[in-house]
Amino acid sequence: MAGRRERKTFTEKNLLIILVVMWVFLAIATGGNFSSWANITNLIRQSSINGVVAIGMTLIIITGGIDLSVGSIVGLSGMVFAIFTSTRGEFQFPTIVGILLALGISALIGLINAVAVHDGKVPAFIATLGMMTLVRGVVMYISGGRMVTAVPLEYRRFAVLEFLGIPALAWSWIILAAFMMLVLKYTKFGRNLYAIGSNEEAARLSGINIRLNMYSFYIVAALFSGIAGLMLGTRMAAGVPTGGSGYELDAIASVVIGGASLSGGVGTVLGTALGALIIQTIRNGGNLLGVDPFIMQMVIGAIIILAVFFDQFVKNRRKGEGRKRLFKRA
Amino acid sequence: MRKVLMLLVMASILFGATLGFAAYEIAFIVKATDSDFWQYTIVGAKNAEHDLQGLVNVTVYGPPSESDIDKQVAILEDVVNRKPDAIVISSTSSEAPSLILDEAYKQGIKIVLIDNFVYDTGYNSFLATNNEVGGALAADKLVEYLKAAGKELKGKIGLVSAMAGVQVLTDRDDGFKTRLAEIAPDLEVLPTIYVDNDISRAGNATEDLLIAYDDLVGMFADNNHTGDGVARVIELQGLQDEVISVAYDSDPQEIDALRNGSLKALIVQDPHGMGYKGVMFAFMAINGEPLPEYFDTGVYVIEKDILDDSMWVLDPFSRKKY
Repeated sequence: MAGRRERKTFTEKNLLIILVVMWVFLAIATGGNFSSWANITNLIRQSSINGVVAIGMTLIIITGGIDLSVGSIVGLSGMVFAIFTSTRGEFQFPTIVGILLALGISALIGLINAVAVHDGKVPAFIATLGMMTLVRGVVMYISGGRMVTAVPLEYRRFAVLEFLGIPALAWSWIILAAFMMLVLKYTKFGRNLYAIGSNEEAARLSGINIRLNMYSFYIVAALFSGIAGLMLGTRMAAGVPTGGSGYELDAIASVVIGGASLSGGVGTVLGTALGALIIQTIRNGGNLLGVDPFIMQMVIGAIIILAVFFDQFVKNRRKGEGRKRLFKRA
Repeated sequence: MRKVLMLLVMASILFGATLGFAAYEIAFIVKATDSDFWQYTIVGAKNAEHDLQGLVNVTVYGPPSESDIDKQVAILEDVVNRKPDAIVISSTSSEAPSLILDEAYKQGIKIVLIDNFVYDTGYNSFLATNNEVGGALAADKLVEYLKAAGKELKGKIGLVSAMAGVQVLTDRDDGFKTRLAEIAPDLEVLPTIYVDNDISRAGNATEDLLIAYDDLVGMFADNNHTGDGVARVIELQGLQDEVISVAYDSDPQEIDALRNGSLKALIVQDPHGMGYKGVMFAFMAINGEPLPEYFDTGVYVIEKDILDDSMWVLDPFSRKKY
């Protein structure tokens, strides 16, 4: 256990080094524009939606699964909220009711995912791939493929709300991430997660209720996507049928850059948060520098690979296995 | 025996009825079902079906998303197998459906292309918007509003594009850049930012450009989702008079933006007209009427002062007849 903890913090240190190097470079290259307070708050806010989706994805990847349906859940949550609260719509429910409905439906999708994966023994990749398409179909159907506007004013205002100079959207991410870090570290929920992800059979034998835990992991993950959908909705001031499409890829990239292993048992919320920041830093920095958009796309792809490569490289050297071993294995 | 006779009589009546009143089958294939724009063309097509009072039967097909080129081709194959009288298609690709369409054309199925041209196929008519002209109009409007705001025609212009490699968008962007270089050579258009048609990312791009360039005086967004993202940031930061923005297409968010000044002008096509005329042209082709090889469906420039009189073009759903 001690060994793993050390490895985890080690990944996070490596990511911090990468981030700091990128930030220093960008601050110099943009003549200080990058390091302005306005841009730093932009950067955190821009990362926040993917950041929240990625927290949920971290849980699922630690179980050894993957959740491709998160982007569709983001879209569903925002659309459900917009339909039930739109002041031009037929329901016109209060904001809080809209939020509860959106999150409730998101949780339900998570539960269905969990039943399919745990009880149905459908591989997570396939179950959630199907769910991704199914849920997107639901979003299209309930919206008729059209944008739903006239969402309540207080909902729209959330996107500009600030507290202590930091946008509310950024706070949402910071608070949710901090909360989940504590949960994973200090609660039974967290310990069960790592236990099941490392070795499900051993976890079962030691008396952990696998079904109940799996249900809660998938429900919590879907809830995070639901929250992200509401955050996206405040930013767009509408329910958009295509909202959230492709977000699963950014979320997976964030988690993987953050040091999680796709074979399960390894991963941290802090690492994922740093991963999300790295991805957004490249996009934000590229825009500030006016980099050719196609080159930027190549850079993002390369960074995903290099970040994991760098991490593995340093870990292996630390373990005294050296560069040779790494390349031989590759 | 009597039962059999009755059955025969009924069958022949039914058969006769279908023969006598057979409506022409027109397949209407859109690029995507997930966008307002294509929903508007569908309203136009269905309105045409309604106005032709039973002479045609319009069936709508389309893949969920504009990037689904192969899905659209598969849909087209199925449609051709059903042998409709005419196919009205807005193809996502200028080449992928060529062979199938040409085969259908040779079988005598009338082909009307809308919005996007398809190479190497026979067709009866091609209806589209000249997107370069639209882009140029956007440049005209941008300069006009810069002048009206008392600004010098100097500084940077941001260009947010929904997607790379889509011909109509490239045409809009090129038309915009070419025209701007002619009428305001001191305005520099920044490298295009592509955002995968994501509203939130279009907003991010706008925020980033505002940080990076003090002398950013204008923005051009080349479709509705990019327009929504740009306008949202301009509105939130209260920069309506600082950064003059013009966008393409229309949706409810863009219309709100036009009202609150975060967008100054919308360049809109006439999707309803495209769908309506597409079906009408197909009907004419079936009846052997001559058709123009190319028909420009035109663009409209919508500004705040004419907004309320332009709802018929901005929101074709209000024109639904069926």
